[in-house]
Amino acid sequence: MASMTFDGVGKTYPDGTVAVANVSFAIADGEFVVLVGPSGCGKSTLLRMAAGLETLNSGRLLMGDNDVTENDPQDRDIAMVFQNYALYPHMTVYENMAFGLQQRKMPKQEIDKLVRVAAEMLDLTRHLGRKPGALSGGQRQRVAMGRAIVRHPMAFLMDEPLSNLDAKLRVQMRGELKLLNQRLGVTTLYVTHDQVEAMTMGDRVAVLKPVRNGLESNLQQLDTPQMLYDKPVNLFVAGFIGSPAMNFVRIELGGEAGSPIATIVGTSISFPVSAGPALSRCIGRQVIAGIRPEMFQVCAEHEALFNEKIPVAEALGADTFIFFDITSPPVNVNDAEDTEDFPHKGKNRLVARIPPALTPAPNQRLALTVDKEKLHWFDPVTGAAIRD
Amino acid sequence: MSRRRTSFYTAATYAAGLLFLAIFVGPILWFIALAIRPAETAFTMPPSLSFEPNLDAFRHILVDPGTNAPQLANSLIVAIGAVLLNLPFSVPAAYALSRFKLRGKKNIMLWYLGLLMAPPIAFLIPYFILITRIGLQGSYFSMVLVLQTLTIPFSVWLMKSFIDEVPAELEEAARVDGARWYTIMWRITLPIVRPGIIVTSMFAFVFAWNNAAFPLVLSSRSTATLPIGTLGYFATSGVTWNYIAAAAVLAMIPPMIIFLVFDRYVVRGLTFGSVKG
Repeated sequence: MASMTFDGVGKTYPDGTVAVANVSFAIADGEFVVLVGPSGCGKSTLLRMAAGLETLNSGRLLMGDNDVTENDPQDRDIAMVFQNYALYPHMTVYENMAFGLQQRKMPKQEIDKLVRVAAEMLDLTRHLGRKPGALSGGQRQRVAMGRAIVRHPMAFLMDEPLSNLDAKLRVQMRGELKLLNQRLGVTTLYVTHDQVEAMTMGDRVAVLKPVRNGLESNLQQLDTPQMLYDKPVNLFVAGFIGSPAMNFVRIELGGEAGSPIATIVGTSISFPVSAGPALSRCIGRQVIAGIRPEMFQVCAEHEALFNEKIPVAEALGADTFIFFDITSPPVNVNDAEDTEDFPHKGKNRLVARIPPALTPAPNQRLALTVDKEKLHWFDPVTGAAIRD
Repeated sequence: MSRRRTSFYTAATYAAGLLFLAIFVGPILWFIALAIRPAETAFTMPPSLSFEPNLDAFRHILVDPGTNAPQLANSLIVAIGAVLLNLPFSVPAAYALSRFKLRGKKNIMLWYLGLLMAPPIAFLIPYFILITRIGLQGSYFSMVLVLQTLTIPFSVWLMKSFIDEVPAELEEAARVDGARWYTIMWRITLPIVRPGIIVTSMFAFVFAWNNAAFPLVLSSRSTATLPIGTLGYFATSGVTWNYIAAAAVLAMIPPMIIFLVFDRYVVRGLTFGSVKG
């Protein structure tokens, strides 16, 4: 077991495409770090770099204190779980799990012992003699895990290992994987595009974004799931983490220092906000306010900030999500998912979470206010969070 | 009405099928008949189908003077030899061309294709001179060696397409598991493409078996293969059609057996691959 450090890592393809640039972070010994981001954000490339399957153009990669940048995968003592599992189809489950140990010239009895312990742990003992083709998706997934844990490697690398499972099994395996990591205490780097998976599994989560040139960095924020949710550093992270995504509205910030007034651009909706020094410096400019769906509250009409027709309501049982439009220009959270799909140009579609008992009938108006203390503020030019 | 039309179409379909069958299988059946009918009835006009079948022709070519018995063995030696020499060269070549970043990979593949397309006749004289100079003329090995100019290019192309189908992830998994490239090739890739190796071997065998041009100039009297032996029946004193037919029927058998036995691999070879999630 060992820590893992990415030090200024970058990868540019021969055709000039920049896949990864300026990524630096460290994973502590035994830590579970998730790389998450939309497609093209370089998360799989980073993982493959850690495995040694992808070369680096710049930067270094350390395992513990050793520089492994130039090492072949064979010499890194890491184990990887692939999206398609990559089980050897001509070998039995036993042989699949034993293969890595055989490469390390381990004596037969010891291999046998390790394989059986791992198989027991993953409930695969009954299937040891079968070939992958005869197993179900969940069983194959466990064999892929078994092949990794049987080696007791310095680190696990997992490339969307749950994405081929059906929804129910995915949730179940998510828990099992997390438990397994806690039990084994092996440093783990885990790639997913599913932010729920990222939030539920990672000790810390790294949010990545596609880069356009070698000057930017893919890495937006590396933090605990709660911190990512509560204190996103920029619009991209704010828009990516959370489901449904955070609402963004353009705000004209007026009034005086100490008692600024926020007006939603394109509407007559305005409200006082309490602003610290950072936000106060933005008075007289446009800013972007971020509103999580759960920050809305159903209220009496005279208190309402929004009193709109609700065309769509999604009742999920425990919660209801309602969608409504305001006549305000939408905010493009540059490259964040979903924002391009908004159907109404010039209209900004917002989503709010309300108690199911208050679910409105279609096209009924609903008075809503917002917990103004909790609003997130962002600079519209840089996208950075405005925070004291 | 509609029933009559249906039965008409059925009849027409069968008639067309029979016609096709007659065109493709007819000559083969005719040759078999030629091999087992008395020689003097071979060209009776009109052709008669009533004759006393006998195996005289087969007895003559295999047992009596027995000229074809060693030739059959020679053909087997040369064809099997060609397969055995082919695999150790074409499989690693195909693996390298499929997996490694090689400069001029495309050119190498095209060069192989060129070898396949060139008429073997063009090489006959140079090969003859070459083989004679190194003193291998008349040996089995000379034929096995020279046949590689046909079998290796074809096998490399075929094997490469099979190896291309093996997902790169499997080899990456093996690399992460600690295996070197030769272990990966030997223990992961080759076992997975086994159907491909069998199919390739079949084609190499048939190529070598059917080839008459190279043995014509390279074989000696004692190493002549079946096609060469058959040519011997076009003698100056006359053409012994029943012997030719018997030898031809004999020559058909091994490729047919091979395709019957390994038929399923041809199908599996096209559908194999790794386990998908």
